[in-house]
Amino acid sequence: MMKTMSISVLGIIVGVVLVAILPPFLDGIARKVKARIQYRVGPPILQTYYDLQKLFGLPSLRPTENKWFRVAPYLALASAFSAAFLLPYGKWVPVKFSGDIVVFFYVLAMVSVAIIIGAFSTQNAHSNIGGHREMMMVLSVEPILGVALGIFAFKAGTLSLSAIPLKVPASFSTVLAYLLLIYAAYAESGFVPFDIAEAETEIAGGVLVEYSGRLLGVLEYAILAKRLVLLWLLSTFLTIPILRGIALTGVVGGIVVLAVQLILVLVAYPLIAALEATNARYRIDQAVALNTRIFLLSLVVLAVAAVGW
Amino acid sequence: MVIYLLELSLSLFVLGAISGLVVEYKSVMRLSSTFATLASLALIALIVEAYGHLPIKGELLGTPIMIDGLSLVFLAIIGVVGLADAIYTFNYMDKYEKLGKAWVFALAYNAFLASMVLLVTTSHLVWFVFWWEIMTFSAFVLVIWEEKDSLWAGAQYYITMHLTSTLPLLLAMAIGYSVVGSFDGMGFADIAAHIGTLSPGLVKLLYASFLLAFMAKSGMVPLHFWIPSAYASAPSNISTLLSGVMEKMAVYGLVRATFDILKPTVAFGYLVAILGVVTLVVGTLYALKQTNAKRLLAYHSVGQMGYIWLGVAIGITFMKNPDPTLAFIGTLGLAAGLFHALNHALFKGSLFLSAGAVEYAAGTQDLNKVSGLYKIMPWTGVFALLASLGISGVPLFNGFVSKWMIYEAGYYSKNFWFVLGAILALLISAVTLASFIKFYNSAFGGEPNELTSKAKEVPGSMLIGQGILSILCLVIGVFPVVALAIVTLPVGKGVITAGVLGLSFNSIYFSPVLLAIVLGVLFIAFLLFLPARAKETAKPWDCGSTLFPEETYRLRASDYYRPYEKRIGAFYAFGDFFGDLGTEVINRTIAAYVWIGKYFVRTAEIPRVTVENVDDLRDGVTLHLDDALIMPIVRFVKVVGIISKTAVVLVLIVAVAVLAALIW
Repeated sequence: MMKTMSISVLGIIVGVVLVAILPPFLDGIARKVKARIQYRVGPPILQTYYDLQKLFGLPSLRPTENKWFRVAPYLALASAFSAAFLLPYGKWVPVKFSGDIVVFFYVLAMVSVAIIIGAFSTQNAHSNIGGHREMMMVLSVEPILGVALGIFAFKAGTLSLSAIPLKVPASFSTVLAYLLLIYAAYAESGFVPFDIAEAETEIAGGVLVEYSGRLLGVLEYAILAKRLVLLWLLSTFLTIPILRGIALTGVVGGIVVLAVQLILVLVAYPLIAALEATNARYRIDQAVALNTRIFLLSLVVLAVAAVGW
Repeated sequence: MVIYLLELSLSLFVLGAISGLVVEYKSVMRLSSTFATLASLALIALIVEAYGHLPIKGELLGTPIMIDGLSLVFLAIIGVVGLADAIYTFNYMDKYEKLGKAWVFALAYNAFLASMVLLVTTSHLVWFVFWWEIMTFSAFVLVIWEEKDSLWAGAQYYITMHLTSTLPLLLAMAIGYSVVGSFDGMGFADIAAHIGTLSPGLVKLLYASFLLAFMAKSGMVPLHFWIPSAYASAPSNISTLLSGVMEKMAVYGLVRATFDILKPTVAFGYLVAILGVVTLVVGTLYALKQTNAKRLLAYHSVGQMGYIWLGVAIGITFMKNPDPTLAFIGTLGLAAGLFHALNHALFKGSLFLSAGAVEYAAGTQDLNKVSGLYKIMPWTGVFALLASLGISGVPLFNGFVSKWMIYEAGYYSKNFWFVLGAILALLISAVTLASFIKFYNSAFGGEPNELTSKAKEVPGSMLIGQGILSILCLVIGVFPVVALAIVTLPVGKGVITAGVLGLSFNSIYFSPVLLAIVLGVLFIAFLLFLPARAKETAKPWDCGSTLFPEETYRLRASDYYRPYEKRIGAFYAFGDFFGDLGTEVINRTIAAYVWIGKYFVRTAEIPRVTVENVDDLRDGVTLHLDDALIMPIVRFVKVVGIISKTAVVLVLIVAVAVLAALIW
């Protein structure tokens, strides 16, 4: 029993290094791209590191005695890292405590849960509104994700993280399932137009408003790490079907897969930034309405998958 | 030994029941809950003793007893929740001291628990129905404990049970009698052996009557309308037993009847699944709107029962499938359903106890009015949070494991309708999370207000009661093997492999322990390397507003999720329809009872009173008359001296009906 459970030291090293270093870097690229689209010079690529460094150096203010306020950011960051450990880096999975995609999404959702608990722990309307919006995003995105997983269950016959990309056949419904997954991941990540929970210009940071100094740094870092984890999942789901025709074995094969995963992430992030720069934030009711419509449409796709296309 | 422990447990319940002889209110409560605690401990010892020696057959006071894996799952539910609840009751009932009637409580409370123990251990249909009725009646006495406000809730509950649970079960008994031919021979196995001789129409009727009876008891849509008011108006320790334990008896009945009396068929499986999915959606979406703590929890009980029925339905549909993969999915579904039944008993039990603690301390169930209790009731807060995370299905808590098993079974069935069921279950799980974020934060988040700053933490015994259940939520979430060892008994070993590290089935595996270690190590590492250093305090930033009182500067329970609720507004209208329909049926039934009562008790002699429904009675006539007319049996309990003739008439009607059914 439990033969499939494993710990890979190399995976832990690669995973920790990537998840620890990459998110601020990617954010830096995104900021540069957005600036260029808006005819600005923009900050240096490493600006997000400087920001985090500064935040980590500052003490935090305490707006409430409630301990959850202080615990939540660390819980969010730890959850994001835990989810990251389930994904393959090349052929190495850091700590495989489950191979199941449902478990993966739930562990990742713990980031949101922690953020929401933190946001509600204070008596601040902006913070509460932010938490409440974050929750409604989770509520409306979850069913879309559920349908995508349903299509994988039909077409690939498995919900295993490592087996879905290996077994998924190229068909009408699987392409749509990928699109649904990409949409859900994008909305979950809170990129514009879905940055409704933070809504910097509207509710002054929403879930982040009461956080300052080091706690704010940890929380922002958790949000960035969560984005990378979702993107890494998508890049894995694309890399393996692309490379599965080629026999990749041994360490070299692992490194090739890792390289392709990394390249896809580096290509995708500027694209996302371009989308962000050219869109305006939705109101929460618009976002919920859009997600509801997509969910209802996706049910049709599920029926198509059940028929066998 | 096992039968001896069963006898011990029941004798302790009997001692608890007669402890009313002591007379003095507090002593009676202390004594009866101590006996109930000991009896529950004896039940837990019984489970340990019986484990590995199943099935055990025996006799108790001349009634046949059989304890198998299925009984053990439900004995575990009664034992654990009963233990926590009895400890909680030790102090909680002080709140009702001015009502007196301690001896009635001792009698009803212990009879309630004991009847459920006997219900899951008997192997005889007649005794099953007998204990079922004792359970229903003692629950009724406890539901109307607060009298005035809870009478309508009690009437709703009791009349719904009469029409949709007792009658179908009597019908099932009659059909059983017609195949076996004697009352003594109506063991489950005997009826199952003779079921082939029944005509197809009667077999269908048997399926239908069992289904209806168990639907009503577990509050499946559209028969869920009695649940919110009954659970909200009963004392909280009773709500815990109603929601945590009594509802589960219906699941026991469903599984027992389907697998041991009837045969699990695909069509019946689909029917149960549809009921389950509809119920989980309706119940939980209604819960999202509630701002009364106990009504919110009650609607969630409806929703969570939907999950359990969905799991059981996957079992009924696929377990006898010739394809081994699908048969396996069936087994997984049934085990998941039973697992969720156990988990629901733990977290919902704990949540009702927490709601009771909030009511005990702050004097209200209204989530709009309470705030900042984290500071005043830190322990209750922690226990409520653990249970909330459990019911929301957050990883590392028990609800996650069983819900996850239900999703997996649904997805892997590769049947469109069950996949859809799994997707809806996934969605509803997020709704549950949303609802409990509201529940927890509106009560415990924010800062204390005028009402709550005067409150103080509840007595230790109540905390122990909450703690037992909440800590078990976490323990089972991290080490599911603790519960899986019991809940997989009815489906056989070797299907789900569970160890200290985690669980696996097919090629799927999940190790909560490893997740806990990874998460814990990371959490501590971040905390050590980047300590918060948040020494300086500051008031929350309120945009410089000076005119609003501080406590209004946050969301109240009624403000949550408005845009989302608006999106699904049409849906609520659909649910309200069934609620109105149920109320209408009950009103008509009451009118019929009133009509009979009027004839015998001669209400007509009271001037200027036209009695058409129960509300007229409440407005125009004294309380005792009201009781006597709509609920003859309450009157029996309350005013023992005067036994209403109405009761006699009712008994006569039921007796004639049974007799007619038997002769026919």
